[in-house]
Parts: sequence; structure tokens; C-alpha cells
Amino acid sequence: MLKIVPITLFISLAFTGCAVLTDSQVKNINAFAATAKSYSAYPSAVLRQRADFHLHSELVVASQFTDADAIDHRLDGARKNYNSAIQLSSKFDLSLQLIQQYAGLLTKLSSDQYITDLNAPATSLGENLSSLVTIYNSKVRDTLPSTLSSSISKVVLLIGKTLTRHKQTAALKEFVLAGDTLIQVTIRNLTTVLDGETFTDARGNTFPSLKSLLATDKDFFIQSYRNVVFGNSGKIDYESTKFYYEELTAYDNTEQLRQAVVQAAKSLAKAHSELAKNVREKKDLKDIIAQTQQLITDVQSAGNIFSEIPVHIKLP
Amino acid sequence: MNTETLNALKQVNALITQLQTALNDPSLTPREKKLINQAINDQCDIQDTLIQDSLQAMVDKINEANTDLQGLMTKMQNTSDKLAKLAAGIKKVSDVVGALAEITTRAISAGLLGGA
Repeated sequence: MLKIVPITLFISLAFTGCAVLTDSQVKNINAFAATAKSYSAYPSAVLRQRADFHLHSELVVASQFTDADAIDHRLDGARKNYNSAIQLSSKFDLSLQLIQQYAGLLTKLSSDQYITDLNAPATSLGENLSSLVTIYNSKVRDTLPSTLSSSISKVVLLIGKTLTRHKQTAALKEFVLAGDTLIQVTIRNLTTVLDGETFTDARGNTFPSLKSLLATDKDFFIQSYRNVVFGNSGKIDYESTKFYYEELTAYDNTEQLRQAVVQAAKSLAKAHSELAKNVREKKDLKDIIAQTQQLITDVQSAGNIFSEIPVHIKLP
Repeated sequence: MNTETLNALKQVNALITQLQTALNDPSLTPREKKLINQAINDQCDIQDTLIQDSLQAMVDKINEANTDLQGLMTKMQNTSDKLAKLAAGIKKVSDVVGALAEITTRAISAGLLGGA
């Protein structure tokens, strides 16, 4: 009967195979997922700032008009444009939010939760088997070893753990590799839209990137302000000059924010790419991979810049 | 139709600032000023449209792979559920074996099952 234990153990291990990934690889997936879950460098903040700037530019334009109807028309257009831009801004975060959800599922799949669930029943099983062995030994001459119950419960636990670990790590590997293609495409699209000069849509139309749009907005604001305010000596005073200065500073801060968003997004893609490269083969990883550590730094840096953004820019 | 929105936007912006400069001319009649106001408004409306189109194109581009990402996450959630079910199944087997051991123990104690 004692031979059953190692035989069962061998069969179970042979049947289920070993874990597909090492503990250090799972730990790395978990570290990436935990960092990606705390990702906060969302582009919508840049878009909201841009919407504020454009609203201010439109108010500057309207302030030059001498016709009430023209002023009303411009204010109406400014309001509609602002509301629409604010509505669209949240959609800039959707893909990153999905990647965050993906990271959440990776955390779940790389956790010990499934294994931990198996520890409790094995304990009660061991206790019941111990009682059985004790009773059996009191009735028969050929006694069973007192360690038999713990050996059987260990086998049950080991089969459960091995099978679960095998399936868990196989799934993790499959999802990290499948996720990598999608993450690289998503981040490439995101950085193309936020960075560079222009991007092309599916129909071949070319549009300005957010970087170009911000630069164009800033240039328009400067030209417009010079014409409307600085071109009219009656409008030049401390307040109007201060507003001009603050607005230009806010443009620069928003550009800095945009750069941080792009940097964090690129870092996220790089860390995931390196993670995927490291889980293709089963191997021991000595530490958390450098790209994940860089992601942690970039996410923190972006978080600091985000915390410094004023909620609303003051109008003169 | 292939459009180059950035150049169009720059041209519109340049036209607006030219009209703004023209509006600063003190010799303009009220009617001329009104016409220039209207022209600036028309160009600003075009500017707004170009910007809105650009923002919408950005949103579409960024979210191109969202459906595939959602599909992957559905698979991940299903796998997570299956793993939880597997653990629950193993627990069930373990409970059954444990219960059988307990029943056997009690049966032996009560003399229902004899020893050798």
C-alpha cells in the first residue's frame, strides 16, 4: 500500500507535467501587472488642457468683435467645440484602461490564490486519514505507519497544486504572448497619435498629431493675442499681460505632460515586450527585468507631473 | 478623398490672424467691420470642424485594437474561472476522500467493519 504514494505521485506529475513557467517568471509577470495596474499617465488630461486653451483662444477672438451677433455666434461655437472636445477626451484613455484591465487579469492569473484554496481541504483530509490510521492500527497486527495520512494528503495536495500550477502557468504564457501583439499595436497607435507630426487614418486621410495640434493651437493663440490685445493699446495692462504669460506657461506644462504620457506609454510597451521575450522559454530570471523597473520609474514621474496640473486655468 | 488636415488648419489659422489684423484698421466702416467679423467667424467654424475631425480621428486610431483586447480579456476571465473551478473540483475530491475516511473510521469504531 505504501508503494501507492510514490506511484500516484509519479503518475500525477507525468500526467500533468511540470509548470510551464518558473516561479521567477511568474513573479516578473506579477511585477509588471502590479505596475501597469497603477498606471495613471492618461492622455485625457492633456486633451482637457488643450480644450481649455482653445476655449480661451476663441474668447480672445470674440473679444475683438464689435457686432453682438458675431460675439454670440463665436461664444456658441466655442461652447460646442469645448463640450465636444471634453466628451472625446475620455475616449483617449479607453485603450490604456483596457491594458490596465488586462494587467488586473494577469495579476489574478499569476497569484497564488488558486493554490492557496487547495491548502485548507488537504488539512482536514489529513486529520480524517490520521484518525482512520489510528483505528486501523488498533484493530490489526500489521500496523500502518503514522505518517501515511500526511503522505496521502500531501499527494492529494501535490496533484492538485501541480495540475493547477501547470494550467495556470500555461495560461499565463499564452496570454502574455497573445497580449504582447495587441499591446504593441495599441501603444504604437497611441504614440503615433500623441507624438510625431501627423498620422494617417484607415482611409488614407492625414491628421495632425496631438503634438502638432498643441503647437498649432499655441501659435494661433500667440498670433491672435498679439492682434486682438497687444494690437490695441487700450487693452494692454498688467492683467492682460499676466494672462498671456500664464497661458504660455500652461501650454509648456501641457507639452511636458504630453511628453510624459508618451514616455510612460512607450515604457509600458517596452516592459511588456521584454516580459513576453522572457516567458517564451522556461528559465530562471534573477531579478525583476530592467524594463519593468523603468516602467515603475516612468509611471511615478508621470504621476508627479499629473499631480501638478491646475484643474482650471484662470481667465483674465 | 485624401485630406491633409494639418496644412488646412494652418491655412485657416493664418487667414483668421490676417483678418484680425485687418479688423484693427481704424478707418473701417461699421459695415466693413461686420463683414470681417462674419468672415472671422466662418473661418473659426472651419477651424473648429478641422479640430473636431482630428480629435475624432485620433480616438478612432487609438482604439483600433480595443475589440481584440476585449476578446483576449474575455478569454483570460474564462480561464481564471476555469482555474477556480479546477481548484474547487480538487477540493471536492479531497472532501469526498476525507469524508470516506471519516465514515470508515466510525464504522470500524462501531464494529461494523472488522479488522483482520
